[in-house]
Amino acid sequence: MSTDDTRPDPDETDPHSDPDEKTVDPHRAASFARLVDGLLDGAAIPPALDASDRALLETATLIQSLGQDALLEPERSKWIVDRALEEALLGTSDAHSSKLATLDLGTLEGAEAGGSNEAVPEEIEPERTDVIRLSTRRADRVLRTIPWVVASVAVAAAILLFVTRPSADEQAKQATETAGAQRIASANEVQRHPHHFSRPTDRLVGEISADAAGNASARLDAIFSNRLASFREIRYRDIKLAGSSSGKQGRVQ
Amino acid sequence: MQMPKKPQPRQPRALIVAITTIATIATIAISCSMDREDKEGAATDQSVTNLTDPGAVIGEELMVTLAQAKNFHHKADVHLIDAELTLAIASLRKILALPFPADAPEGVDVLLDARARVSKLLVTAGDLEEAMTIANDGLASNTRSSFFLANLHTVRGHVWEDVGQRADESKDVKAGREARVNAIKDFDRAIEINNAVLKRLAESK
Repeated sequence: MSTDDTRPDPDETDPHSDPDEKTVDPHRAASFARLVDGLLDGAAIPPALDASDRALLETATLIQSLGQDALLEPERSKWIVDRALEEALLGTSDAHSSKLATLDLGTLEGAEAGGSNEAVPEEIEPERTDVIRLSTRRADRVLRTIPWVVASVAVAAAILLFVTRPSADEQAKQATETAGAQRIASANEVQRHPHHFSRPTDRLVGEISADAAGNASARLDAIFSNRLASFREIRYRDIKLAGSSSGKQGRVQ
Repeated sequence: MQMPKKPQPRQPRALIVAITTIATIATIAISCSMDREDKEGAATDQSVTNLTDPGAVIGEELMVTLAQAKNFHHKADVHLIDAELTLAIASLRKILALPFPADAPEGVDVLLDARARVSKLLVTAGDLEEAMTIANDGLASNTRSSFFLANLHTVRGHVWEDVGQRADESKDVKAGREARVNAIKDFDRAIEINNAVLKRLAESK
């Protein structure tokens, strides 16, 4: 709105409520009406125009636009709404929203009447700014956290491997057990029971007295009987496993 | 109108998530390692096999050689019934050539026992030197303490005893005394080995 003190009171110049209507020149009123219609149709204000007429013209135009709904282009209205939402939700106080807050309605009207982008400041043209939606910002936040998550998982895995690493003795033990396990595995899934393994016969034979020093034959009979029982148990289980799995035949002694 | 406050940046949340993840996984890893140590300790105390010198699973090779040795012993028994000492010794010597599996403690025990019997028969046959050689070879090639090793020391002690007696008969006092000293050493060694084996068997029960 103009602050010119010399601008007459709009109520006084309103053609619909002018108390001095009978004093207005009808020719002048018709020409003024044509000017207003032309301006509303998009014509420019004639350069050679009386100052009072110019003021009246601007006032009439303003009153006319206030009486109508704001007919902005969809992109512009959307941009204005997005900016307002951004300011309200995110609290941005950049140049764009400050310009938006101080943007003159007359400027928008002039831009609408002119049908061009010239009235919109170049810095806040929608085509040149990033109209970031809330969903896009959410996606950006997720993308920003991905490196942190990957780094944390890698560090955690490194800690896990370091804590659970086998010691040197353990590795040697595992190598020994692996060799032993291979020998056991070659016996076709024999259950790991002590009496299935080759072992010293001290416990079976007992302490040998001096009188029985030469009785090797009797001791060997005991050893052979004991080991034969274990051997038969192993062989019988092999045949049972082979028969239940693939039908492979084996011999029993 | 006062502008709303700018919200706090989201960076610290990711940092908190990272720290929490690392702490959680580290805690789990440490607890797993502690459990594994407990299990290893328990496994040591409750060993399934609990074997002193565990070897391979009893197989056909071991059984075949044991059967051969058994047959040779019985053959020698038959020869001894007919007082055929030489044939009995020859039969027992064949046991010493049997190919027992290298990782079979039974084979070691059987061989030591066979040497003891051969040595005693050789003493009976009067061949003290060969008896001493058979015993010496067996004692030199075995380091594992067993009743059979102790028995072979005992047998060699008896051989020394006979050597000393023969030296006394030949009026070689010095040789006789030396032989008896060696016999006592062998008897002491046999006692020492027997005690060690008995103690080991008692501890492994």
